[in-house]
Amino acid sequence: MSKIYSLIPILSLAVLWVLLSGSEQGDGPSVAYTSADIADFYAFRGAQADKTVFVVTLQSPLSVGTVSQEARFDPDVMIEFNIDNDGDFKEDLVIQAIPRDSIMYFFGPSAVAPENQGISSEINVNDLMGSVQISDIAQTYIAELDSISLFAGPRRDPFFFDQERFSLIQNGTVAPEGFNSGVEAVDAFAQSNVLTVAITLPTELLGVAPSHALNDYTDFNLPNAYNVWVSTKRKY
Amino acid sequence: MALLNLRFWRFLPILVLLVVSCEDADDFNNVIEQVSCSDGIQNGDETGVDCGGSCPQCIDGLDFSGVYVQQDIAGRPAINSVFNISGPLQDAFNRAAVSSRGAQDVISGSSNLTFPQVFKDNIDLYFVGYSLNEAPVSFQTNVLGFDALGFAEFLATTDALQLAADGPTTYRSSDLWFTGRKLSDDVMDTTLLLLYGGAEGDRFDGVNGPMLISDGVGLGNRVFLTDFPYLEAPLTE
Repeated sequence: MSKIYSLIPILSLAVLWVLLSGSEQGDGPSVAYTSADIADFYAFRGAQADKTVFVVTLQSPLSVGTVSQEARFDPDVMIEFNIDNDGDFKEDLVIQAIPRDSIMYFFGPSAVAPENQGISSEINVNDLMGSVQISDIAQTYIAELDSISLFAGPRRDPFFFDQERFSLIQNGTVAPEGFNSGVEAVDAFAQSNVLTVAITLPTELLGVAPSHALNDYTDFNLPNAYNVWVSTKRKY
Repeated sequence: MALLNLRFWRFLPILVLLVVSCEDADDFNNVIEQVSCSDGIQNGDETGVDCGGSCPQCIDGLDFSGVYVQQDIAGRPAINSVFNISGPLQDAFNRAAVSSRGAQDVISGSSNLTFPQVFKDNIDLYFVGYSLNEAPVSFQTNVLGFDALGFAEFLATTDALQLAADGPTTYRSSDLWFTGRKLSDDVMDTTLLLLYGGAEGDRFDGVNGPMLISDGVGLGNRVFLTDFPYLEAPLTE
């Protein structure tokens, strides 16, 4: 029993941080609720089968009304979509997005030299892809550039989760009772907005895809797959 | 390298504005002057050097200089918030390159911690929490065949969305795992299944113990668009 009691402070800590988190928003006290706080990342095949879509959501949660209307991207925070082509989990291509005034500028896909891989980046100004007027609550702007589409602005949060119940399960309070169902299960994000950046582009621009990462660990035979992630990087 | 420079439309000016200049009609010393969006001079219908007109718009006058340093990062959903519950370690995770979270990589700011071991300890904590007032239980090999440490290592060292170049993209659909993440994918149920569900995925399913493999919520009344930007318009009330 002494071991269990010694863990109780740790469990209490867990409650603190999990209450701040949905999927990823609020994770990490340094970035939580800042303009660089990533909530969720999505990557999927577009309505046209030869296109890929990247979506990142930021600054969650934005309550409906004034908070959503006044939410702004930070001109000192660059959003970077990273693509690993060879399975080493280092970015081989990046697509960067950063706002200036009311415009979101996109750069890339840009090849990243090995010496430039990692947590520090400069903006690839020579690889301008295009730009789009940042949307607001009332008006949606989409840039259609040849085979690429760009969007930046507030949208309804696509993420859904009964976060509060999970926190209580995590700290042991209701673990033996489990999750709720029906109307008792509450989606903490159902009534919130988020800032989003979305891009669709021809998949062929992403280059070659390596062997699926899970194939190295299991007996699965999954199709070749890029490793992709999104990061926010602040100007120093 | 700007891959997009290869997009065909940028060569339209070449076709349209192809200029053949004959210095001397009597010899064959023809000079072909080609206009492109990467020749370092303002030509064609460009309004600046290699920008404007049929090239990308000009960004002259805008300052994009400087070094930008990683603040936050996201690959698979909910990794840092479910499997790494300590605030300082979440910060360390957010600031680490994806490729620097292996069993050999000591977490920056710690003396000997690694993310695989931290994740393993966090997985165990879920079962400690469950066991506070119950008979002790522990993690069981999950539907991917991972034991707790193997699962932790996989999550920590490969934290990206795997994105299939061809074929369906889904976080999980039947036997198809990690080929992308759609807006509608119930990624938290997948995460819970891998944490609590055991080898057959039926542990803690509400029959075999309490319901811990699904949070009971789905899309609700969300309606995603069928085309770009796919995301639903913001709520106004």
